[in-house]
Order: sequence, then C-alpha cells, then structure tokens
Amino acid sequence: MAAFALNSLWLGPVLAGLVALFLPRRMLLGWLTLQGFAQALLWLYLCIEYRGLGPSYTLEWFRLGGQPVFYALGIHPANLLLVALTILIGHAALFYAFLYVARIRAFVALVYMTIGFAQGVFLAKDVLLFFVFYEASLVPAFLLIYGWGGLGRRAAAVKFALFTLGGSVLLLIGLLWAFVEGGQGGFWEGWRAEPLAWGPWWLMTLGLAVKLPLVPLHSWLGEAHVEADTAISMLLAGILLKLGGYGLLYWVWFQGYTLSLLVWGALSLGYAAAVATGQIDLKRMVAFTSIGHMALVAIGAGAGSPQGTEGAYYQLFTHGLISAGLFAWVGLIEKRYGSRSLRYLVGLLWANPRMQGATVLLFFGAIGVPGMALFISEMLIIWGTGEGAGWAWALAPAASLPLTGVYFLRAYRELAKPTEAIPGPQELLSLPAQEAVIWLLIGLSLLAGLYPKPFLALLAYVGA
Amino acid sequence: MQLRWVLLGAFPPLIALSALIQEPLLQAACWITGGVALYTAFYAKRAFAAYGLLYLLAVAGVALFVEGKSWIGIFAGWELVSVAAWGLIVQSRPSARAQTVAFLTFAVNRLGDAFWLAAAFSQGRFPEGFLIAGFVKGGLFPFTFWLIQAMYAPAPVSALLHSALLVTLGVYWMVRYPEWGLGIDWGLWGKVAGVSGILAAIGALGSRHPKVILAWTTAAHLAAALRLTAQPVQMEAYLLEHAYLKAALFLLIGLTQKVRVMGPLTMGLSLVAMVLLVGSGAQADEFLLVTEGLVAVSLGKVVGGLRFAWRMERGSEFLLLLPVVLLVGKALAEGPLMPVPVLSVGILVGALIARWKGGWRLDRIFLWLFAGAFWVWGKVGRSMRWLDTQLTHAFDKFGLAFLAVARQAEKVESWASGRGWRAAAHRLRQGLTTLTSEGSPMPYAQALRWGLLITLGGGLIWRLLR
Amino acid sequence: MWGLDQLWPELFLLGGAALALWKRSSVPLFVLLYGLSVAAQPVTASRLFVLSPEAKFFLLLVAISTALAWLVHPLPLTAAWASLLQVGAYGLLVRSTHLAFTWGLMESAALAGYFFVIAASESPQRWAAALRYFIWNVLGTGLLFLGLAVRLVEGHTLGGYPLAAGGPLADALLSWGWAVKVGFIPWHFWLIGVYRVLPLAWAAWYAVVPKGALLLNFLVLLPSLGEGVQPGFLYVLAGVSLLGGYAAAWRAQGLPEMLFWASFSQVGYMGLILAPGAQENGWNFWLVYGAASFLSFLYVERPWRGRLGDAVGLLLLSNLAGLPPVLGFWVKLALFESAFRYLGVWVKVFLIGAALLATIAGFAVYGRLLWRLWQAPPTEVVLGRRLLYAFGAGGLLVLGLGGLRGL
Repeated sequence: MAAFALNSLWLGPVLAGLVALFLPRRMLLGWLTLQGFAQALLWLYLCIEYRGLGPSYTLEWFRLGGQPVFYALGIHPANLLLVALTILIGHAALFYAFLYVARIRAFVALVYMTIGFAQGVFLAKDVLLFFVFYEASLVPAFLLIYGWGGLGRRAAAVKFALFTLGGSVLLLIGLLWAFVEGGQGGFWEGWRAEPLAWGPWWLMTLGLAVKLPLVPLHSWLGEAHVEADTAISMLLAGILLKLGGYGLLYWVWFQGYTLSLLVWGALSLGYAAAVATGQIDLKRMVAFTSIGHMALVAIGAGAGSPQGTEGAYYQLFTHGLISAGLFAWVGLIEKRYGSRSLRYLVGLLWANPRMQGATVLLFFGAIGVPGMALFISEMLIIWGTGEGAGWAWALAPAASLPLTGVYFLRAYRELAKPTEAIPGPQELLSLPAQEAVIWLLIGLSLLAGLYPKPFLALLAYVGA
Repeated sequence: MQLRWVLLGAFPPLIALSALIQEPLLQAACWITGGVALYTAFYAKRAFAAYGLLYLLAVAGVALFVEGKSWIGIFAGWELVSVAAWGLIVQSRPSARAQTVAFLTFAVNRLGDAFWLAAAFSQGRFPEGFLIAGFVKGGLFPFTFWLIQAMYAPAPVSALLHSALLVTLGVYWMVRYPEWGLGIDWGLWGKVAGVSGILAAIGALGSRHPKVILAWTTAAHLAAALRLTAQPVQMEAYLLEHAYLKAALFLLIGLTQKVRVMGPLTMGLSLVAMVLLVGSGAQADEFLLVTEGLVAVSLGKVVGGLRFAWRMERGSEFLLLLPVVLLVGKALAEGPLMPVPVLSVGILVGALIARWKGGWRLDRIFLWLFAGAFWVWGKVGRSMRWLDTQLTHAFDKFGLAFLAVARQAEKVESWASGRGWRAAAHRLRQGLTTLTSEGSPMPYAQALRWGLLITLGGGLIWRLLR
Repeated sequence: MWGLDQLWPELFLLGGAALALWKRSSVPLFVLLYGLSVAAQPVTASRLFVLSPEAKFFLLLVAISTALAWLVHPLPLTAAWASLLQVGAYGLLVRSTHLAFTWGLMESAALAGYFFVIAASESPQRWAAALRYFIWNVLGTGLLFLGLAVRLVEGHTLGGYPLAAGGPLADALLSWGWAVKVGFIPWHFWLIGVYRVLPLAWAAWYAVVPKGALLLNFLVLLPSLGEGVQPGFLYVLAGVSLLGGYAAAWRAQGLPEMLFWASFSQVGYMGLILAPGAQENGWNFWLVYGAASFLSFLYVERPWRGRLGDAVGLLLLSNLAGLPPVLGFWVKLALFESAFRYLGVWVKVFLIGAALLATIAGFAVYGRLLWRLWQAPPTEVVLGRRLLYAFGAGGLLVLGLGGLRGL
C-alpha cells in the first residue's frame, strides 16, 4: 500500500493531467476536486504510515558504470511537508485560475504534470532519479509560461528554460563527477554518506542555485514571474523554486559549515532587498521577495547547524505558502485594476478598505512577524547561523528583518496613502474563488506560525 | 456603531484578568489596556474592532515577552508589540503621515530586533545587542526620534504604547531577564543614558505640543530607570509607576484636547497631572540621588515634567523655576554635585537654542539621519533595480554575442562553401591546366611528390608538437 | 575462412537492383529483407568480417530507415541502384576488419554517393554539390590510403581482428582521413551541399547512415589501436564541431537546415568517446541519436500539429536535446559518464566543457526549432506518418522510462 501511495503520488497527477485533456469542460472542476482529495488522502496515509525513516519503495532500475541506479521513492522528514505543499499550491493555483484561464484543459494537464514531476523530485531517493524528475518538471513549466501570461511571456519562457537547462547541465556534470571520481557511494543512499568534493559541490550548487535562485543567477525569475499568468507564478514560487531548494539541501548542501554559502546568501539577500525596494511593479517586487527569502535558505544551510538546516527546510514550506498567497493577491489586484504599478495603485487600500485584511496579513506574513509561519523558519535560520557560524554571522540573516520590513511597508504606504485620484476598478469583479485561495493560504500560514509544533516535530531530525 | 461594544467588552475582562496575574508588568498592561479600551470606546469615532484587536495583540505581546518559555516566544512578544504599534498608528488616522510614522516606528524597531537576535545567539559575547535593541524600543538616545514622531497617533494609542507597553519593554527586560545583561559595561552605558536624559530635557524644553513633551519625558524616565540596574526592585517599581502615570497623563491630554472648551476642568486636570508628575519625579529622585548621584537623568525628567506643566498651564513659568531651584538646592545640600549647575545651565542654554531656532531639536538630526538612510536605501534600491535590469540585459547580451558569433560562423561557412570554394576550384582547375600543359614551370609528377612530402611533413610536425 | 559465405544477405541487394528494372517499388522490400537477414545471422568473426551485435542492429536500422526514406520519397532507377550500392557498401564497412577492405568500401560508398546525389536530386545545384562531395571524399580516402601505405612500410599488417596498432604516423593519417569522411567541422563543406540538394528524407538518411557506419567501423578499429593513440586533433575537431554546429544551427534559416547543422554538433559528441573503453556508450548514443534524428527530419519536413502531434514533436526534439525521460537523455548521460571515466584530465576539461556549452546551446537550438515549428501554419499529415511519428516518439519514451536498461 505504501508503495502504491508513493508511486501514485507522482504518477497520479501526471495521468490525471492526461485524462483532463480529454474530459468535457463541465466535468473538469469535479475532476480537480476529486484529484485534490485523492492526493491529499494519499499524503495523509503516508503521514500516518510514517515511522522512523518513513516508507519507501525501491527497485533496481539499471546499471551505470557498474553501479546500480535505483528507482527509489520514499517519504522522509525532509520531504513530507513539501509533498503536501505541492498538492496544496498546485490545486490552489488550479482553482485560482479555473474561471478565467483560456484553454483550460491544456492548462490543467500541464499544471498536473508539473505537480507530478515536482512530487517525483521530492520523493526521489536516488539522485539520478531526482535529476530526471527535475528535468522533466521543466518541460510543462516552460509550456505553461510560454502559453499563458503577458505579452513578453514567450521570451521569458525561453529564458527560464535556458537558464534552468544550463543549470541542469552543470548539475549533471557535477553529479557524474562526484559519482565517478568523488568517492560518493553510488547514486542511492550512499550518496549522502560522504561530503561532496569541492568540484562537484560547486558545479551542483551552481546548477541548482539557478532554480533557487541566488543572485546573480536569478535573472530569469523576474521576467518569468512578471510575464507568466498569476496561477503560474504561484506554481513557480510555491513549487518550482522549492525544487531547487530541496535539491540543494538534500543532495548537495548536507555537509557542515560553509562560509562561501553564507557569504553568497547574504549578498543575495541584500541585493534582492535593494532591488525589491526600488521596484514599482508590485509583482516584480514580490518576485524579488522570493529571492530574498530563498537566500535565507542558503544561509541556513551554510551555517551547518541542525537548527539552520531545519529552518531552511521549514523556510521552503512557509515561503511556499506566503509567496503563493502574495502572487494570488497581486493577480487579483491586476485583474481588478488592470495594473500592477505602484504609481498607479496609490491609494488603492484607502479606497478599498475591504482589501486591507488580506493585504496586511500577507505583507506581514512575508515580513515574518510573530504568528506567521515565516517567522518561525527565519528565527530557526538565524538561530542556526548563530550556533553554527557565530553571532556576528547571525546578523546577516537578521538583516532581512528590517530590510524586508522596509520594502513591504514602503509598498503598503503607497497603497494606503489617502489620495484624491483613487484608482477605480476597471471591472467590478467579485472573485470568490480567488479570495478563498488567498485566505486559505493566509490561514495555513497563520496555523504554521501559531502552532508550528507538528511541523517542526517532523523536521526535528532533518539537520541532525 | 455596535462595534463600540467590542472595546467596551474588552475592558472588564482585562481588568479582571489582572487579578490572576502575578507578573507585575503584565498586570499593569492588563490594567492600562483595559482602561485605555474603555477610554477609546468613547474617544474614537471609528475602527473600534481594529483598536480592540490591536490592543489585545499588544497585551499578548507583553504576555509572551514576560512569560515566554523560550527565546523564540520572548522574541515573538518583543516583536508583536511593534506590530501592534504599527497597526495602531496606521489605522488611527487616515493620512499619509500616519503611514510614514508607522513605517518609521516599525522599521527602526526591526533594526533593533536584528541586534537582539545577534545578542541572543552570541552566548554572552555580545550582550550589548540586547541593550541596543532596548534603546531602540525604549526610545532612548539616539533613537528617540521615532518615539517623538509616533506622537502623531491619537492619545489612547500613545498612552498604551508609548508609556506602558512598547517602550517599557526596552528597559523592563533588565528586571525580567537580568541574566541577559551580564557582561555589559554599565558604567559606559549609564553615561549614554545620562546623555539621553540631558537631551530629553533640551528636547522637552524645545517642544510645544504637550504630547511631544511627554514623549521626551518618557525617554528621560527610561534613561533614569536604566541607571537602576543594580536595584531591580526599585527599577521595577519605578517603571510600573511611570507606566501608570504616563498612561494617565496621555489620556488626560486626549481629554483636554477633546474638551478644550471646558477651561476650568482642563486647568484642574492638568494641575492634578502636574502634581502627579512632579511627585513621581521627586519620589524617584529619593533613591536616584542617593544611589547614583547622577542628576542628569533626573534633571531631564523633572525639567521635562515642568515644561509639560508649563505648557498645560500656559504661562505659569514660575512653576518651572521653583522646582529647579528646589532640586538644585537639594542636590547641593546632599553632596558634592558640581556637575549639577553646569548641566542645568547647559540644559537651559540648549533649550533656549532649541526654542530660538524654532523647534530645532536634536532628535530631528537623528530622524533625518534615519530618514536619510531609508531614502538612500530607496535610491540604492532604484539604482539596484536599474542594475538588475542591466544584468538581465547582460544575460540577453550574452545570448546576442552568441548570435554574433553564429553570424560570423555563418559568413565563414557561406564563403567557404560558396564563393571561396568556387574560387579555389577555379584556381585548382587553372593550376591543373597549367601543370599539364606544355612547358609548365612544374611538372605534374613533381607536384604530386611535393604534395606527398607536405602531407607527410605535416603529419610528422603534428606528432612532434603533440 | 574469408567469411565470404556469410555474405548471402547481399544477394537481396542484388535482387533488389535487378527487380528495380521491372518494379522499382520493390526496392524497400529487398532492403528490409537484407537488414532482417543480416540480423538473423549468428554473431561471428572471420578474416575479413566480424559481425557484432551492434552491427546487426545498426544494419537493421539502416534497412528500416532506407525503406522509410523510400516510402517518403521514391527514387529514379539510377538513384535506386546507387542507394542499394551504398547500403551494401556501408553494410560491409561496419563488418570489415581489414583496412584495405575498409578503404575500398569507403571509396565505393563515396562513388555511389556521387551518382546518388546527381540522380536523386532535382536541384540545379546538384552537380556542384556532387563534385564537392566527391573531391573531399577523395581527399579523405587519400589520407586513409597514405595511412595504409605507411602502415605497410612500417611492417604492420592491414588485416586481422583485433587489429594491431600501427605507428603514430599511420594512425594519425588514418584518423585524419576518417575525420574528413565523417565531416567534422571545419571539414564539413561537402556534406552541407549534399543536404541542401537532396530530398529531405534522403538528406536525413545521409545525416545518419554514413556517419553511423563510419563510427561503428572506427569503434571496431579503436580498441586495437590501443592506449598509444591519443587522437588529439580529433578532440579539437570534436570541440569545434560541438560548438560550431549549434552556432550555425541557431542562425540557419530553414527548419531542416537547423537540423543539418545540429547534426554536426551531434557528431562532435563522438569526441567524448574516442578513448578506449568508451565504445559501447558511444555507440548507443549514436544509435539512438541516429534513429531519433532520422525521425526528426521527417517530422520537420511535415510537422504533425495538434495536441497529440505537438507532444510527439516535443518528445522527438527533447530526445535530440537530451532531456529526460526520453532515451536520448540516458545515452547522453552514459556518454558523459564514460568521458569522465576514460578521458585524460585536460582532454576532459576541454571536451566536457565544450560539450557542456554545446548542450546548453543545443537546448536553445532545439527550442528555437520547436518555436518555429509551432509558429508555422499546420499542414496535412497522412495517417501513416502520424503513426510513424507517434510510434517512434512513444518508443523513445517507453525505452527511456527503463533508463539505460532500455538499450
């Protein structure tokens, strides 16, 4: 049963996507709901089954260079939350987009494929299998950005694909290098037994840092987020960035204290904060927020302490919730007012106090105030940095506290400024599904922030 | 309108709750918040629910801070009060200034929080981090500016946050968690606090608005409390006393503003306030002067209090002089306190300058410094945005460079397979014709031999070079 | 002893040539019979020939692709004969273990190719293309011939399996000649003209079959050439081909043109396997690439659009670009793996670096190709072709799901 659950967690969405291609429109919503419930149930089952190292399913796939390569899936502390996040964000994006998106069946199919392959990435226990899923997830993501979004989406999609593919070539080379010469005990469980050698470590880090992304490898992200449709941005921020983060944390950054990573993460953090402060485009600002928050993952991993690693894993989860919510929120504003420019949207919240609640909660969620999930993960990362690298280094991740506050509140100040010329909605849309999605994500973020114990209990052994 | 009951409803439970609570600050927070909630229910015109929620959030923050079982809970409480402050300021007045002030409050507090965290993980090697965070939170010099700016918020908000809850935490941690302060050079930081007190005196003398004056005295009181690290019991008592009194005073100011027409009442109330304030100052002085001998902080406090009374009374300047004289005399009588006259003169001169320059105050410098820092950061952000665009373009240019190389390759290729090829073939044909014709310079066979030799030689050179 | 008795399948080719006089459409059938009968033979080795499993498989694929190309574009009589001659020559070449024999077969394939280009093409440029083709081939065979001569002078034999290593000069000359014949950039000029004038199906055939045959032949020779042979300049050529091919492909105008140029880069990947020990992986790479490339040429000529058709095209091109889980990814993975294992340090740095850049460039090129495909107006595609595309792409996918086991 566990084997069935593990396999169908990734295979199920892929097949569901293929089926969705041929379903009549009126049955589509039911199909989505059914799938969502089915996947959630599978996850719940694995959650209950989960003991110790967790259930896994292993099958020898083929041999490469005399070593076996396994088709090995497993659920373990590091990926349990991310698997749930993928189901959640994937379906949130689908329900968000359901009413307005064109070519809905192809859209659903591609989103489901992205979800399926992303699940594969998280579940894989063999690094080569991980790579296969990682690459495979790119194709539907590329098609999604290519097919749905703003005017420049095609160029953005090509850029996204080239950056990620370039990164994955580096990753592959690093992987083979480590395998052939680095003394790694094969692609499977032996991989994590020995720390990676210098060369493979850097190659793989560079390769995956494109997806995380760390500055200056982030240049695809701004374009892709801005040009892609809102739901796809949600997928990008909520799932696809996590692939890079999870890959780095699980397969590359499992050794101790790494100064270069700390420095790189800190630079990335400062850079992202500065660029976000200067943004006028709200969506771009949110995109750069993601870069800043993902830089914290690098810092947490580089600190080389259990708390740091735990925080980095938890940050993947919490940031997935809040950034997807933020993108949904920006999308909603864009739908209603036809603009994302802060210059145009001055006084938006002043004129529409009804939007205050979600905005404030989302902004403060992303700033990471107590009570929101991101607070916990950021604190863990700062703690871990202090423990692993010394208190002076803890100032680097702690700098994100004022910096994040500055650019979010700056944006809020513009939005809430009382003005004479109040931007009027282009169309008085009532979008209950979209708002429900936003509130769901906020609610989960609050839950994971107010009562993080079950989440952290899962992650407790990750860093150790 | 029915929402007013939210606030009214918050009042009795909070007061009742205080009976169950042992922790003095939390008890005070419940009392004060309950009172302020009651006050706000009649004072405010709108957003009752928001007020209520944020008040509760602030109390929750204090509760977390004083009762937190782990550093993360304590820090959460520490932060929650700033969040509540932001929310209260933002929603209290529908203006752009409120946004800016709230932004300033929150951003500066977060800056302090970063130091707090660094201190928390330094295992005692960087205890000054707590102190810096406390200075920020307590509005001590040089961070007083945010406290002064935050007076833009209405009276109940000021009463709650800038007396009892937010700012008090900045010093109260020394009572609650004295172990954090181990290793701090109190002598040095005491002097910094003294500077804070003096500047508060100057600031208070240079200000006009009663609330702003009160804010200055808050800074002075906290600086005074900071001097009492050696006597935690007195410090706690002092802080609580300050919290209750200051909250009452702010509420009174709010009331006088609302009921300005009722002159006699205003007069009476402000007299009560003055008496309370001077009383509190005098009471604190008892041990201050005895224990520390540092008059600077108490001067700031007392001078500030008197300035406040003066403003409220509009013209009772003599009130200012009387206690100063009393205080100086008392100080002189009790010990060798040479700095006192010097300081007093200095304060008065500073205050005169402050008045003369039309509201020029020292905190403005730091406000400008910080606002300037944020402005610069915004500019940095702008240029970084530009830089990022350039970076994006650079990656595109990388692609374009690839294209340019490809274009050159294509040119070479088309030349080699087209024109160049044809020319070479033509020359070959010509050469063959020449070679095979009569009387050619080089016989055909010879040419073939040369060709063979060149090929073999090339091969040899290749081998050797490699 | 000479192994001539194993040559009975070649009779099918002769029969096909004869029957072509009467009914030309029987040619593909005979070619298929030839391929099948070679495949049915036991794996043997004799003085002139060695029939390896790889060769059997390759010849089967050659037969199938020839038949397919024929179905797509039937040929006039002369061209039919020339193509049969070429199939025969390459069929023997992949089995040959005697250098003189190899040389002769290469020459006859080149001659047949000359006539084939003239006869099969209707372009006014065909004479020039054929002439260029022929002259470059003569250059290649000339170098090979010199290599043979030097070998004999040095006292080495030309036959035997495994072949003994010759002197450095002989080996260098042989590799030169071979590189010209394969068409590494910058010695590719003769090939591109041929691609341009031939009908696309046959151009695809040209892009796949001769290179495959030469590679297989080289791989048979390689282990015996031994450790001493470090075909250094082949590495340089491979690097240049890897990058130059994709650079030119990006700039190329038409869709088939892009694929032609990309095929030069794919040849460049062979540089990664020129070290002894890596043959098997190299051969797998070429086999998969060749089959997919042939299909892709056909697809590009007449793209099948629509939901399913786009997916099929995507799969075919992902195979060329080396994206998982299609089989093309796995063979490229194995290629890189053996490169890591067997190449010397600096060669590794240079070649893997070049291959890395080329792979990224390849993503760009195939992505652009796909983009252009999707921009173009849809065309009518017959069911048979659709089935062919779908079968090919599905096969690559299904085999790819098995990883390297799919081979």
